[in-house]
Amino acid sequence: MTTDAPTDERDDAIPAHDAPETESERHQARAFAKLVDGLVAGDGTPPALDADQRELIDVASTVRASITEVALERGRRDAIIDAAYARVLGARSSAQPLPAEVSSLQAARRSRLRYLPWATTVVAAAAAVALLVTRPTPAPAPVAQAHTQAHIDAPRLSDQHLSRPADLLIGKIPRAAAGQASARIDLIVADRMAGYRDLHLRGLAAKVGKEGGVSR
Amino acid sequence: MKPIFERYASPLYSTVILPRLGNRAAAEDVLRDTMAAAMEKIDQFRWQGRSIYSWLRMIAVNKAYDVHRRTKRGQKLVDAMAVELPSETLPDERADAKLIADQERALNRERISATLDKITPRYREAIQLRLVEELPRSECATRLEVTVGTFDVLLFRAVRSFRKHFGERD
Repeated sequence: MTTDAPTDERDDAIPAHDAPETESERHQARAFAKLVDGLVAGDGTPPALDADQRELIDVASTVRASITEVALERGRRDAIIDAAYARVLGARSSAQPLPAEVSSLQAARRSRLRYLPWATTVVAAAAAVALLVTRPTPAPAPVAQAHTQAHIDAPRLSDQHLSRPADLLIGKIPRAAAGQASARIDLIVADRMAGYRDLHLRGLAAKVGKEGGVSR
Repeated sequence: MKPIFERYASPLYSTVILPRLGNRAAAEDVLRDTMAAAMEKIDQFRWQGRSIYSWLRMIAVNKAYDVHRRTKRGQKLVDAMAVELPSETLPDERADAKLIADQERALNRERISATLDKITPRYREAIQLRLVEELPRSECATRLEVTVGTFDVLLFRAVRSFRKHFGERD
């Protein structure tokens, strides 16, 4: 990438630091000093500059940027990021074609989504029809009647399994006789005692012990 | 990609783009173009053990040199920058982006310092006072015991001398 530039000002000898100044050089130096003032102050470079001045100020900027840390402010950073996004998205929206893979995926998704409302409606309708067809025959009845009917239709439990199991000797206890528990207990005890006396008097007690059981 | 850009925008700007362009406005434009290019070409990025910062850096360097070519800057300066601030990725490519940026910053300083060592001490001092320490022209003139006008000429010659030696190989 090297080039020959025989007329390049950079190839002219640089005057020694104590060499006398020319008027032309003073004029250029003053102009350059103003550019450096703007550089240090953070101002932009003027657009209209001759090539040599622009290059010199670029060199000065490079020196500064390389040695001193020139930070990017957070606000400027965010603005630059937003500008980059706007540029990319703006370019996409202006009919610039997306990559093929993205385009085909988007087209496929769009075609699927187009039929989604219809599919939802059909499924909902089918579910409603299925419910109508399969539901049991309704029988409107008052709540009390429904309860009694359910009670009658329920499987009959034996007296033994009801909440007030009755002794076989007593039988089912009517609700009206619920308070006569003492009489029922006396009857049961008497029955058990009578049975025992019977066994004893008949000499069966000893026989039970020998033969292992006797039936009444 | 926004979190990536938020994280790497500043080191790209300060260590890669601005040292190559020198101009803040141009550097911001290149940073924006770098991000836009990265978004458009993200499908080309392949993980090869390098941080994505290295990839962004390559895009930024190329964009910076495009600016030089587009504005027809002096070819010698562009070549000098190519020599002094190479586009090749830094040695420690697997390093974290911060480490890469720190290394690049150190290398930039080293190369500038090496060029400053080649020029006359009085020119070097003029550049140091005005461009690095950012002292006012009057203060610089006082320290060098010259008039302001003479200091302007001194700085003008100093930067020309720097440009002449920048990119030279021993």
